[in-house]
Amino acid sequence: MDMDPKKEQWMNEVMNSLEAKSAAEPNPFLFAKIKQKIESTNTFSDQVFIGKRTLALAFASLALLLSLNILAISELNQQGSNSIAETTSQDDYSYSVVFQDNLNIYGNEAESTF
Amino acid sequence: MNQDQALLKAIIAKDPQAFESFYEAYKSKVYNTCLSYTQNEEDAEEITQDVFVEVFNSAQKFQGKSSLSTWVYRICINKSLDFLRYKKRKKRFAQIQRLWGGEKDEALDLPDFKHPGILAENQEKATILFRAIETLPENQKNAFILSFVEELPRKEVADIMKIKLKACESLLQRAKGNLRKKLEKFYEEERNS
Repeated sequence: MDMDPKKEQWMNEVMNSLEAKSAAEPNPFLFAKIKQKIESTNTFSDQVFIGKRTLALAFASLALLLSLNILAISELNQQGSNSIAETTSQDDYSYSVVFQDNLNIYGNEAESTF
Repeated sequence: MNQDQALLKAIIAKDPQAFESFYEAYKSKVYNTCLSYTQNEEDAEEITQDVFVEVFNSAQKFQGKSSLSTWVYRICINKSLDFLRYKKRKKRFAQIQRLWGGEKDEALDLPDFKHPGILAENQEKATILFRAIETLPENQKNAFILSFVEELPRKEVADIMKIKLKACESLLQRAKGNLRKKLEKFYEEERNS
């Protein structure tokens, strides 16, 4: 089937529209931007990276430190609760003594009165 | 040692002067190739930056099996295609979001591309051609852009694409055929509207 000559001409013109094209120029500040980008990526690559072994050692020391702390705190708590128990039993005794004393007082009073 | 190798050696040694001369020698090639792919000046500048940063950071990886220009073009094409794929994904995601009632992202629907280096009387037709180029499969697009937009010799295009010269010519034939089909469609649509 023959193509419409108008269409054929239009298509040829479109296909050839890039002829005599000149190169586009990039932004004059593009090189400065590139340099900046390179500097920022190099700053990143200059960062000190810690090795796996060092990291594992650090974690182990941290874990040791934490467990020692927990142990120490629980030991202190235990000691604390023991001393509280002792003091409370002492207090009970002293109360009972006081109470008994009071009773004795009444007792004495009673004895003295009667 | 040829000039390219000497230049690269200086870039590896982080010589700023060498990198600047490299930039001056390649800026136009890189920028124009990126522009042909992205069809947007801002995006082309962004990719051009990435290409030069990549060259600076991986100059020591260049083995000298191809010419420096071929290597730079490959980086350029890879970066541009990656960018286009990313943009396509973003567009698809935005379409899904819109279906769920999200707002339209204007930045993803760019207006028709006007290449700054094209003669004023050809602008309209070149815009239509660029729109048609966008629809080509990747390998045909590569072959067409490098041969007809960047006007590189067929041998260099084949080297950049790592294919044989005959394969490159066949790709170009298919690209031209597909473009003509697309243009025929555009013409009919234009006439019917």
